[in-house]
Amino acid sequence: MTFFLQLLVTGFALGMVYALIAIGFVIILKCSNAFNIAQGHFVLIGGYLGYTFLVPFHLPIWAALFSAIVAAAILGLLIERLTIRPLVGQSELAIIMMTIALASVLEGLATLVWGGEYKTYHGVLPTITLKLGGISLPPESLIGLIVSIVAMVMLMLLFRYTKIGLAMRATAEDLQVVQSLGIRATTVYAVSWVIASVVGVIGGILLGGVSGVMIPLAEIGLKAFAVVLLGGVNSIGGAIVAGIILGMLENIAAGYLDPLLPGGGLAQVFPFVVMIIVLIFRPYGLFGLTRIERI
Amino acid sequence: MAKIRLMLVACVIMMVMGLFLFSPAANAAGKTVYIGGTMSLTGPYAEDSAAILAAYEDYVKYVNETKNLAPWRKEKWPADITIELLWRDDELKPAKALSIYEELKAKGILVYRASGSPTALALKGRLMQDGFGAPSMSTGAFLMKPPGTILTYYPIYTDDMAAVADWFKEKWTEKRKPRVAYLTADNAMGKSIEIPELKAYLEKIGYEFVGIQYVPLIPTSPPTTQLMWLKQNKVDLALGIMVNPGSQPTVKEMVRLGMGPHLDYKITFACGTPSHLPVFARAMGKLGDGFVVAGGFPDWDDQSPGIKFINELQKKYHPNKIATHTQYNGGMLEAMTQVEALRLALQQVPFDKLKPRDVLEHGFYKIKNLETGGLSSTPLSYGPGKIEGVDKVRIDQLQNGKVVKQGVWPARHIY
Amino acid sequence: MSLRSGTFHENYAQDMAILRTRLHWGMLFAFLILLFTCPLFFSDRILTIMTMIGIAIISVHGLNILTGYCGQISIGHVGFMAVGAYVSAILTAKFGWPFWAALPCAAMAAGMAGLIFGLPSLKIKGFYLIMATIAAHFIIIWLILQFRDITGGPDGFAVPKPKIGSFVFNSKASYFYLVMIIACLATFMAVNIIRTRAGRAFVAIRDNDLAAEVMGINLWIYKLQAFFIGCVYAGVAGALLVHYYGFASVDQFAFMDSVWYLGMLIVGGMGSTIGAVFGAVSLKLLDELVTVVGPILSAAVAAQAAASLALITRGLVIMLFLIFEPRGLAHRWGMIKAYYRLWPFSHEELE
Repeated sequence: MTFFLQLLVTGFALGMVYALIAIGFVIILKCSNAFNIAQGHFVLIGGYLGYTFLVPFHLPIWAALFSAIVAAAILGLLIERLTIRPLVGQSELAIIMMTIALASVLEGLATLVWGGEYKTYHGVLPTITLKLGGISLPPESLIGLIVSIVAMVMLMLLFRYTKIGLAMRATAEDLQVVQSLGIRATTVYAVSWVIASVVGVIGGILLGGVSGVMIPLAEIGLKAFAVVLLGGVNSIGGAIVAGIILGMLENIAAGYLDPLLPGGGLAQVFPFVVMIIVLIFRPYGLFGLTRIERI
Repeated sequence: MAKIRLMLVACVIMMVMGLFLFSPAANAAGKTVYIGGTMSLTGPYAEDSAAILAAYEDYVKYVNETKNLAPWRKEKWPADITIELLWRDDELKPAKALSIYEELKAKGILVYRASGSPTALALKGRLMQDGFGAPSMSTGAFLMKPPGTILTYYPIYTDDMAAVADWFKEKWTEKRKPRVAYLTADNAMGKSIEIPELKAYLEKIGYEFVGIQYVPLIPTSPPTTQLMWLKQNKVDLALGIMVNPGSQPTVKEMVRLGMGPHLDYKITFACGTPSHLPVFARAMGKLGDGFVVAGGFPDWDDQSPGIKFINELQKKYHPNKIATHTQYNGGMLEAMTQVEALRLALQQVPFDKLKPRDVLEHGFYKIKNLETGGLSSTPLSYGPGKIEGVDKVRIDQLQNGKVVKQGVWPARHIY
Repeated sequence: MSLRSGTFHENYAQDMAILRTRLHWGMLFAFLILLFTCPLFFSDRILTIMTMIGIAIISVHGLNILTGYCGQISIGHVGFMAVGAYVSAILTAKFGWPFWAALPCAAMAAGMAGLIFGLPSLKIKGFYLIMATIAAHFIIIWLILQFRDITGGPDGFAVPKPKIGSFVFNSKASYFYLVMIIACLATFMAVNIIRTRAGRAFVAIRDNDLAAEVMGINLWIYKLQAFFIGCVYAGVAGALLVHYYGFASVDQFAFMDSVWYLGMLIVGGMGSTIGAVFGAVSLKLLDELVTVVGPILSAAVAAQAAASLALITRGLVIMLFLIFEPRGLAHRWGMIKAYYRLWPFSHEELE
């Protein structure tokens, strides 16, 4: 029983990180209808930024976080202005391909600047140890949990009470109406990319503290897609719930099914199996809105 | 109209670039032999490859300048022949490796190197057919079936694991059988130890085999679940092949869960070579005490002549950019092997008539007990069908944040 | 398609012909003769590059039919190539089948895999479908690893060179001929599939699937057909690839390669058969250029610069095409042809 509970708790913590990454994805999708395949690469850049500010620059943790967020915001702005805005009005595929190309360029930049090396900052991030009976939570996961919740609450507040947040929601609803009301859609797009980039970078710093940073870290973006699908592509709350569900399912698969299978490795492919099942039976996810199309 | 003109200009530029691309290599004056091959500067082995490349460059400079092969060796490199390094970045993609191979072959390279397993596997047949000897940092059991001409300078993964099992069994004092499980990377490299021969060997020498758990090659969350499983099943020895990005978070999480040779729950975790212990020790310090690596390289402060030699080389040629990754040793071993094979072959066959197959048969296959100054586990020997250069497996353990050599154990040749 | 003035079509067959004038036929034959005499005067290296390009062209044709014509975006193409590759490799290496029998089986198997993973396409599109195809890739690779007894799991296994009768395609030149013949056939088929009822249905589905359904096009049948055809192409390409490597291993079917096949489609031009060819050729040549420049750059700047070069250039090329030439090289090619046709009376607005 302890084993099972431990799996659930670990999965929960893992799911929160998934959810944080998935949120960045959902925000861009909601506001500018763009599918950002490069979300995982924001995480990668975030990890390297965290390393740079914490280890060679020796900044205290808050300053490092602040600098990384500023850098991420600049990155987000540049990306939106240079690559996404020229494509306004183009097909869905064009934007997806653009983010794929972006992923490649970001990976190239990471190789250029940091040499694609494996960088770690073990024990630099603050840790909280929590033990409930025989179950223990990974310390970084707890930090991740707290940061994720704070980020999510801030985003919820942003969307509910600020002007730009309302504008973003309105843009997601109907671009033409928003434009005729005098809201600048370009600003909304830019802000959504900045938020996505910042959220990704925060996720990257957290993950970097857990396991270090290396180019394949970007692949976590692929898993976040499964979270997004399960939760419904335009629901932030859905992303959180789905992240937790998926994190737990993955851990249970690793704990109980892996030793039974000859080739193992089920935990890695599990999110994708969930993805296919969701797509067949509930294509718009748990909390997504069904799209109604007209000719 | 303007657009069309622009297009024509672009076409002309493309054609010029095409000519540049496909023009045959200009033959350098004087007698030059090439060494090198493909590097994987892009992709998961970027860091290792960069260090290997640096080692090749340094060794080529060293041999050309001094005509010595190493400070501890008396043989000389022929004075009238210069060595040149020829390499391309294959991004660890088989498709690219093939055309690079043809290009370098056409340029007259006589030895080759293959980087990771994806490219090594795609090239294996061709290297055999054309008679190229090729040192490689890829060292799985797949190279043995059938043995090709890709040569390794550290033990293949299954031999690493068997040696660790021998080492652990010697220290085992309890009456019951020790319980062993695999905790390995979830990719082709990590899974290559899952062969029945290794399991049979473990059971033969008195282990109880429990099962297998996988950790992603680069885990994005601590492998708590997998470690809890080990604890649940009372495992005493966990074996695996991981790279540093996998083994570091795994050991960190083990310590947190109170699992380790000196902690509440006694377990020893051992990895094969790609978890370089010198790199591990620098990142983890005392946190990783008790971690075992088989078939590895010595640390930079080791007192062996080989380590002194490479430290001096680095200080001499690029004092501002010292490569700290331990795979530099690997690159040095590869360069030494390639140059030694060429030297031996040149004694048998005149320079103008030298073909890759001559270098393989009179060079690589004639390398017996090549002294490496302690860079490899044992001196290197190759021969037809014998592609594993070392006969013994070096085992190191992290103690008090330092790499401590445990000794060498025989390679059991399990594949 | 507009033609030079003075060309008359007098019946339906003439109007529908792909090659209309003697000049067209002459150019086609000149091209084929040039192509098939390549091994006489090119080195092994260039033959290897051309063989790889040929295989890429076959694969991109499949992706073009699926994505370019039918609008079903797939980033799991390499997964389907892996199915074809493993089926052909297993049949020839483990069961001793001849290559000519294994190849159609490989194609069919990949097609069947395409049908299975194409099933969600009936309910979903766009992003959702992309996700389904990504999932398809990872599930296929995982399944291959699972069946260790047959597939060799992570170790892979050696694959013999293709053999037809007693002739073994062992040399670079013979394999070049094999690939080029199949690539030419594949191009010919691709051009003509688009001219059938199914091809027109694909285009209708791409442009507006609801409208297409209202017109009486059975989405269920045609979307699955597109998946089947696209994946058959992938299967053939995968089989050719694995026999060329001489070794089957999952490492050879990396996820990112699927992305680059889509990139080839973007650079060449979506929904154009000639575009698929252009895209495959140009991106592969770019790759070769980067490889050659890498060591020079490394010596001049640093090893990292060489390492990042490939990733950055490829990303940038696709970005630039998306922004400045979204219809790809095929569109450019069309404009050049029109310019030539109308010369000297050309003007800017030739679209």
